[in-house]
Amino acid sequence: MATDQLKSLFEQLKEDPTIDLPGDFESQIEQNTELRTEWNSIAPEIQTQRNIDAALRKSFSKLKSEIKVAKLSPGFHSTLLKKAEASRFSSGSSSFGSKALWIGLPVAALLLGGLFFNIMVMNVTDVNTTETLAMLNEEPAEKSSRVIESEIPEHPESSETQSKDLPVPETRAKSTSASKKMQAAAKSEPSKTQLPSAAGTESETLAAEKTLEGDFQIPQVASIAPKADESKTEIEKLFAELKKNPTNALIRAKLKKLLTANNDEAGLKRLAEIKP
Amino acid sequence: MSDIQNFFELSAPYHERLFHLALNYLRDADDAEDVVQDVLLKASQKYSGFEERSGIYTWLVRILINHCHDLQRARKRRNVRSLEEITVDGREIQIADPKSDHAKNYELSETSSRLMDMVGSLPEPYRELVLLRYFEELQYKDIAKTLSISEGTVKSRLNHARKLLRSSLEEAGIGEGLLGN
Repeated sequence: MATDQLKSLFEQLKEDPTIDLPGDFESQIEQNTELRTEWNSIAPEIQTQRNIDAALRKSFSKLKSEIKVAKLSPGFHSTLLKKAEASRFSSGSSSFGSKALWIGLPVAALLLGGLFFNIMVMNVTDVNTTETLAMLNEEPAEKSSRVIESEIPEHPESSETQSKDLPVPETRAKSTSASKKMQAAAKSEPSKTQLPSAAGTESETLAAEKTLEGDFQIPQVASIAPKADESKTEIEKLFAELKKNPTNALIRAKLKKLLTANNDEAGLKRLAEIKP
Repeated sequence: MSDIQNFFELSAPYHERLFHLALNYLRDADDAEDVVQDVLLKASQKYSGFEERSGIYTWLVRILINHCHDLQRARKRRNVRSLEEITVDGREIQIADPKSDHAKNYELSETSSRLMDMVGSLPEPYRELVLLRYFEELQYKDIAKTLSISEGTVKSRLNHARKLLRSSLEEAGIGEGLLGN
């Protein structure tokens, strides 16, 4: 064995004294005078390490054979599977919780956003309705907003729930049509326009009663009724003047115009009977 | 459940081996079983992320050693507390035999028992090295992977561990005829 090879072996022994050595290692060292001194300085430590290593190998071999007798308890694997199932369930529920959180948060955000949007739309609709009604000059703005809030049904047979579910434009249309009906009722029966129940037909009466329950339309009816009265008074006044002066074409023309505007057939017939 | 069962089937050949290592470490069969179960459960949960760079056994051993360390630290704390309780009460407390029937299903010779005591008394970095080298008979490279240290560190620490054990072995009469110079 060359000196370089022996030197390399020395280095390996210093790092790990337990490595396998060639059978002729010692004789090789004996023959190599250059390395013999160095070997003599490290040999005791290496030899001690090798002896301890051998003792440990032997002792652990005995220990191993003794300890191998110990077996896992019969219920080991069933307990292990139960634990695995329990841990899987707990980890599954926590993952479900986190998933629910990730899904729930956006849904909650959407719901809140929708609610906010709805409030905004309600406000805008409220303003639009107010403006429209103000333009129509049918009823005060305060009343129109209360219509939207209370969602009064036009017909008594429609349930409150249904009326609440109605979209806003429909409600607006219904309130307008209801007021028109009230106007027509007021025109047809001017002497009874102080009360909505005097509207004429049964359905109209019920609608007017319902309107009263909702604290609605009373100002509207009251505001329309004097107009019809005024018209009738004006007609009667003109008839009286025409009777006094049947040749007055101006009065006749004015009366005819009023009666035609009111679609008053009886009045027109009465006018025709007054000969100039 | 099939993934976990697959893992248990795959690791089944090592269950008893892990148990013996844990038993060597903890010297209590019940604790050793509990630790092995915990190790297998933990490993089954993380098996999908296991990158088979090291063998499954060395991976399991690494987890096992960590668990054993944790348990031993907990034991030390318990022991300190129980000693404090005895001192405070000033009375003798009868302590139940910690060995269950299951733990008695093996018998150790006096030599083996002393060897375990000696290895158990070694400081942490050396104890697992000795067990992995002499009980598990792992190669240096596998020990290095298991403990996440270099092979050079494994060799130098083992040299030091052998030095630490020498006097204890001589006192215990272990390796007679081998240790004498």
